[in-house]
Amino acid sequence: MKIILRIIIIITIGSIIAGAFSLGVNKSSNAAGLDNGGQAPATIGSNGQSQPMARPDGGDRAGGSVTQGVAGVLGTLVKITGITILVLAIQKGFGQPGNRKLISTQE
Amino acid sequence: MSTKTNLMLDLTMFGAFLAVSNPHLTGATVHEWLAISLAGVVITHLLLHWDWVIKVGKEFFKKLWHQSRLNFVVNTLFFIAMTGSLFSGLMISQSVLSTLGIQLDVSSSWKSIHSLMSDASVLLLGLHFALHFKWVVTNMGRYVVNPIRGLFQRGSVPQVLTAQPVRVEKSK
Repeated sequence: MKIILRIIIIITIGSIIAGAFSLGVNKSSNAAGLDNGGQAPATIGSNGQSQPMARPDGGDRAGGSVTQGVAGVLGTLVKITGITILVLAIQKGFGQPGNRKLISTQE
Repeated sequence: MSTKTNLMLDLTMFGAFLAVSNPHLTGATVHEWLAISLAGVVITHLLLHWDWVIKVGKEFFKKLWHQSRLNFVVNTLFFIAMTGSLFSGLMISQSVLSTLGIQLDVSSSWKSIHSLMSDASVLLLGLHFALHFKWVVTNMGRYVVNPIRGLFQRGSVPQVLTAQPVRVEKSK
């Protein structure tokens, strides 16, 4: 029961954040002069009629490219490693002032 | 919850995150469904650290500076970025929503938000990892590196049983 309540709280907070994003997109669309509120931007077809823009593909539908994918994963790992080294260097430089009172995050 | 279980869940999440953040690796359909699964694992991760969230949340405004507060801010931003990324991904998805029978027209704004939030998630994951670096390194050594090393050492011939030549000098 307790866990279900916690899950509901997490999902509610997530929904509020999603709602805020949705509101932001609708407002920016309205500010840009679109009346369709976050709907598809239209393109003019060859027959002169307005047509909704097609959904983006976002990659291969059937399957990914292993070479590109592995390169992407390595790129992400390099980014994370770089950020980690930077933060650790900053922490060392400042003599870890935050460690005065640390509440353990992991048990 | 044991540290080992926490570590295994975190490693699974990390692997899933790497796969999700590179849709070229999996293809768009798997990318979408894997992201939905990752949301479930994120909720589990939050449930496992619920007491910490409540404890630091209550003490947030009491002291000027401590690392738990920095962790709290980074974790909150990470949650926002992940939620934004997931939600905007749903708004431009082709597989998940069509499976649920929902048809939405795509907006270019959602695509921009999706890539912005995905980049922010990678950045915040780096920060999150850096702030827990000691814990990760210690427990990776304890639960992953040492057991693997132990397997290899067990396979080799024990030093006790090998014959060592010893030179004995007789005293005259």
